[in-house]
This record gives sequence, C-alpha cells and structure tokens, in this order.
Amino acid sequence: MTMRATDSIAMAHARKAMLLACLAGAGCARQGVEFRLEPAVVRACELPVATRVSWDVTRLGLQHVDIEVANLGEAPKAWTNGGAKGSETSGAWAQDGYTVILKSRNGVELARRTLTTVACPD
Amino acid sequence: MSDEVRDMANARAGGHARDSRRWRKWATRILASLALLAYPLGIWWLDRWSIGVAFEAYLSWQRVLANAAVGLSMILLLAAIARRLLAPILLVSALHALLYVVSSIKYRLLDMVLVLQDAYFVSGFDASSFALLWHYVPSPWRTLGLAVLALLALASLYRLEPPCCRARAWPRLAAAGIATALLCALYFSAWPWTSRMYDKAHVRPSLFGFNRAALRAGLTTSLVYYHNQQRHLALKVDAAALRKALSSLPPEPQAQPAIRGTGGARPDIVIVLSESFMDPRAMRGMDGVPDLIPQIRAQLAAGKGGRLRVPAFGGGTVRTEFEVLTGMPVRAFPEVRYPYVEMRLDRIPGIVGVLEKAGYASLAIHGNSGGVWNRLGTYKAMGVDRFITKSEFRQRGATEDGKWMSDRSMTDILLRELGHAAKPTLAIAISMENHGPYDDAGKVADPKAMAGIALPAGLDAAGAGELRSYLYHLHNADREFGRLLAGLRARQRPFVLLFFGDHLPALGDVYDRLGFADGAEPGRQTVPWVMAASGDVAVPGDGMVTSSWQLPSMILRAASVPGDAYFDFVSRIGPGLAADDSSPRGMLLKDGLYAAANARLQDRFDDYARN
Repeated sequence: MTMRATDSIAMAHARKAMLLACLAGAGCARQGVEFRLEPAVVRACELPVATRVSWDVTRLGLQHVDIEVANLGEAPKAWTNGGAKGSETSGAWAQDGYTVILKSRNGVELARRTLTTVACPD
Repeated sequence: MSDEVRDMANARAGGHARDSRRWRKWATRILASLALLAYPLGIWWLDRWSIGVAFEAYLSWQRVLANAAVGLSMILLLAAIARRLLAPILLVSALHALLYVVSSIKYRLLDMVLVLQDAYFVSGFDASSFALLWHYVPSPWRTLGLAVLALLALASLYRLEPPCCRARAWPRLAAAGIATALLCALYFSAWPWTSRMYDKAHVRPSLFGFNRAALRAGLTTSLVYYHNQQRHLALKVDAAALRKALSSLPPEPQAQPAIRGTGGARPDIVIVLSESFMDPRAMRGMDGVPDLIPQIRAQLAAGKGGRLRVPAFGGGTVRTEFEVLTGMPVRAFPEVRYPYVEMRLDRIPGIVGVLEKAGYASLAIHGNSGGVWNRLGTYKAMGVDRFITKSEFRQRGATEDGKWMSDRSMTDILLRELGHAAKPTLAIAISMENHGPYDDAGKVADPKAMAGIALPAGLDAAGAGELRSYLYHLHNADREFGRLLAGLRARQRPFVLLFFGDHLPALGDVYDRLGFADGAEPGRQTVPWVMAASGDVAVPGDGMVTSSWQLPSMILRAASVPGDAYFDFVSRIGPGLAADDSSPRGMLLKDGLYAAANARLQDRFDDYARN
C-alpha cells in the first residue's frame, strides 16, 4: 500500500504536486537513487510489521551502501549493507514512524523512508 | 551654484531616491511572497528533521498548513504592527526554527519531543533556568554569536524595507484585528484551533508519549492539541469505581511501634529525592566493576528498602516528586504531564499538610532556582514553611561539583537546618548534582576519582565519558546518604529518613550498548529506595517493589503519625495493587485509586469515603 485509502484523487495529486515542488525547489531529491520501503503505510492495529527495503544506486556509480533503521524515539542503528542494488527484509519490529536511511559508505545520506499508519476503526 | 542647477540636482537626487524606494518595494514584495510560500514547507521540513523521519511522512497540504498556522497568525500580527512584510516573516521563521532545534536536542537526549509544559520549565525565567538551558546548547558562544548576527541582519532589513501600507490603511487595521482574534482564540482554545485539523482523530495522540502526535500531525499542531486538552482539563471522579475499591479494601495493617524521643517527641522526617539515582548493577557488565553505591546497598541488604516504580524516565523529576509528596499517582490525571505546572491549584493536599496538623514544621531544599518547574508556587500550595534555593545555597558558601550544586553542600545545609529546628520537622531535599548533561569531565571537584572509575567493555568514547560522569556523581550521592544518616544518628532527636531515586538518567546510548541485566526496557526499570530510622525501629522494605505514590503513607506509618482518610486508603490499597495491577482485582483497585486521587485533589475524598 503506498497511499492512504481515504485519500481522494485530488488530494493525492495535491500532495504529489507539493512534494515535487519541494524536491525541485529545495533540492531534496538525489538524482539516481531508488529506495523503497514496503509497505509504506499500514493500519495502526497491524503494528508491528515486517518490512522490505529495496535500493538501486547504480546510476550514482556507488559500489556499496549502508542502511540504518530507527523506530520513533530511537537513535538510528546500523541494520544492513550491500552492493549498488539489492533488497532486504526485516523482522516484524517496525512501528509507526519506523525510518530506514540509505547511506553511502562514507556516511552521506542518499535517501530516507518512513513507515506511516492510518487509524483503525474503533 | 545657481538656483536652477541646485533644483536640477535636488530633482535628480529625489528621482534616485524614488527609484531606490520603488526598487526596494518590489524586491521586498517578491521576496516576501516567496518567503511566505516557503515558510510552511520549510517548517514542515524542520518538523520531520527534528524527529528524524522522511519529509514525506504524513505529508499533506492540510497538515503543512495546520502546522504553520500559529506562525502565520503571528506573521500577520507583526506585519500589521510593523507595516513590513519580509522582516516579520523572517523573524517568525527564525523563532519557529529555533523551537524545532530545541525540540531536536531534547529528542536526541530524552527521546521525547518538546512539549507544551516545557515552557513552564523556564517559568519565572531567571539566571538558573538560563544556565541549565545553556548547558544543552551545542557550541553555545557560537550559537549566541549567530543569534546576535541574525538579529542585526533582521534589524537592518527592517530599516531597508519600505512600509507596505499607510499607517491608517484599512488592510492594516483588518490584518491586526484578524491576527489578534486568531491569537486570542488560540489562547482561549476556541475555533479555528478546535477545528478538525486539531482534533483527536486528526492528531491521533498516544497514551504512551508525545512523539506519536508530533509524528502524525506535526509538532506545532500537537502543541495546539495539547494546549486545548489542558484548557479543558477537568477532574473527574468515577464514584462507582471508588465505591467498589472502598468496599473491597483489605483490613488495616497493624500499627507500627511508635518512634519517640525523650519526652515523647515526634521524629524528624527527612525525604531525599536523589537526582537520577539508580543501581548501576541493573546494567549488564556493571557487576564486574567496584560497587559505587555501597551505602545504599548495605541498607537494601539489611532489608531497609526495595525497588521503586516511578512515573518518569530520563527526566520529569516532578512527576515522581509529586507522587511522593502527595500520595496521588500522576496517571490518575491522564491529561497532566507535569503536575507542578499544569495543576495551578491554591492548595495541594499531601504529606506536608498532614504533618502540619501533627505539629510539624516543614522545609524544602533544592540547589537550583525555585522557579524551575514552578516548585516555588507548588510548595506554597502544599503548605511548605520554608524553601531554600540556589541563591541561599550560595550565601551559605555552598559549592558546585561539576555543573550543579553538590550533594555535599545539600547535606551540610540539611543537617544545619535540622540542628536549629525547634520542633519536629519535615525536611524535603531535592538533589541537583547528578542532573545531566553528563559531559563535565575536567570540571568536577575530584577529577582523579572520576578518571579512576572502572567501566564495563563495549562502550564507545562518548558513551564511556557520559557513564563515567554519571557514576562519579552517583557515588557522591551514595556517600552523602551515608554522611546524612550518620549525621542524623549523631543527633539527640529521633528521625525517619527516606532516600530514593526519581528516575533513570538519560543515558540512551549507554543502555543501547550495555542493556539491562533483567533484559527489560530502560523505561521499565526500577530505582532504589531506602527507609532508615533512629533506634532499632523496624521500617518497611525487605526488597519489595513499591510505587512512588505509596511512599508517603509508608513514611507516615513508620513515623507513627496518623494519616488522614486518603493516606489510610492508600496504605491499604497499595500493597495489593503494587503486587499485581493487571488482574481483574488489580484493575478494580487501580480505577478506585485514580478516582480517589481525583476526589482528593478536589478536597472531596472524605465525602466519598463516608457515603
């Protein structure tokens, strides 16, 4: 799931437009980095969940990357590392706000993804 | 120069001035428009940065605007007052950014975002509050220099920027009116700050902390939400739960043998809250290094104390302090984080009031400003007769050890005060020496002793430095406990001494690396408590696990001072609840206790107990 179930199409477009504006304007995007966290959105009552990250930095010409993880309120910890392209699956310990950080070997942050939740019905 | 030439020169100069003014007017309008657009997004970026999550986490334009709305209202007001656009936007942006920087520092140190009540930490802002904050600022002098430069730049910009409207222009008056109305509505918690964007369904707060609300809605929105909660705080007594608990109370425990001095004098009661005091052997690897709390451990081994469950971790001293001085669990008031600042009551019932009725004088001692956490106001509401704070410490020649007033000085003052007391006295001492941050190597009174502290393997340099600093002050606290106990024993008066830690220190990286011997999370660890009395009088303890709200009724019993109906209730309900709070009976007792605490704070517990 990559989008809130309750989002309307217009709101989704508005969010994308804003994100694009930021990426273009603030230079937040790092060209040539693909980094995905799946699932990206879950229902809060399903937590904690297992997640899968996949990355591809071949266009940057990097040979190795490190990945750090952190749940909310924790300092990031080294989790795994790998080549320019790969994927890894975690155990079921991701909570709301769980963040994965992709870094080059010399510690430069390349991308960051965060798990979010939608409320569960009472 | 002829008049004609002079007129031409003046006309040219006037033209230049008009051109310059026009150019500045358009440049600032364009820049102001861009800054106004960038402000909400920039604040959202800072918001995400401060808690280390991705920019797109919970990103929506509603959340971005709701999170910036307070700042936008302030910009509108300042723009109306100053008749400038760019300077107010930049000023508010800078202040808002500062809020996020402070929050990120707190989040890094205490794993918790800034909360509304942190503002009360600096209530009665004075030199002590400033000194405490100063210690947490990275490169403080450089930061101060940058702040001064930023202020100068803003002042210059203000002078350069031409007014955007006439003094009596209607848009200016309308903007001032709207902004004032918005900010008043914010203060009084009225629409639009109570609209959907700030309600519970949108903010989705968690009972387990403030971080979740900040993650899901943005820090500023969560602050508005909690402000609204606080405004609508009401004490609720669940009468049915209280009745059930009252009807299922166990029989009263047997009375303790009375502690009396010559002529039947009541014992002095000394309560020492020792900042961040914990048993270091709770951490893995620490049992292999020399013991740093031998005095406390000897008391525990003799069965004169036990382990204490406290409602705080890494900070929040006043939560534990409130429970020990009142017997009310802070969790009975779910909207209250820091009771000293959120319950601004004229009277707070507790152990001070009970002892006053029994003929006691009362005294509080704390080597920091009385304004911090509103202790001054709270002790007054509790009925404390005298409060000795940092300024008086200094007058009496007290010294610091590291960054804060030493425990040695606190013990000196405590013993001197008790020595002068003309009647039985309740003395409450809140220590300061072992307050973080733990980065004072080279600034302590005995650097050799600090350097000699052995540490377990597995720590990096930063973690080892922090732990060594903490353990140095912990050892001092233990030594001072021994000195206080010896000093009390040397006097001719009976006494009961209660000593306890308020919470674990904020040593997150150390805990991550060492872990705990029992395998439990840092937030679930207990701290030691010890109760010692004059003579051979038996005191409660024997290693039992106790909640901090039980301690005042226990100390009253140990001192053989009759409590009131509420403390009797707590002393009967406490042991069963401490043993098991998750069984159906435990839940019943807990609901009853929370209802009792709400009734107590309204001074209506006796009414409920009678009916």
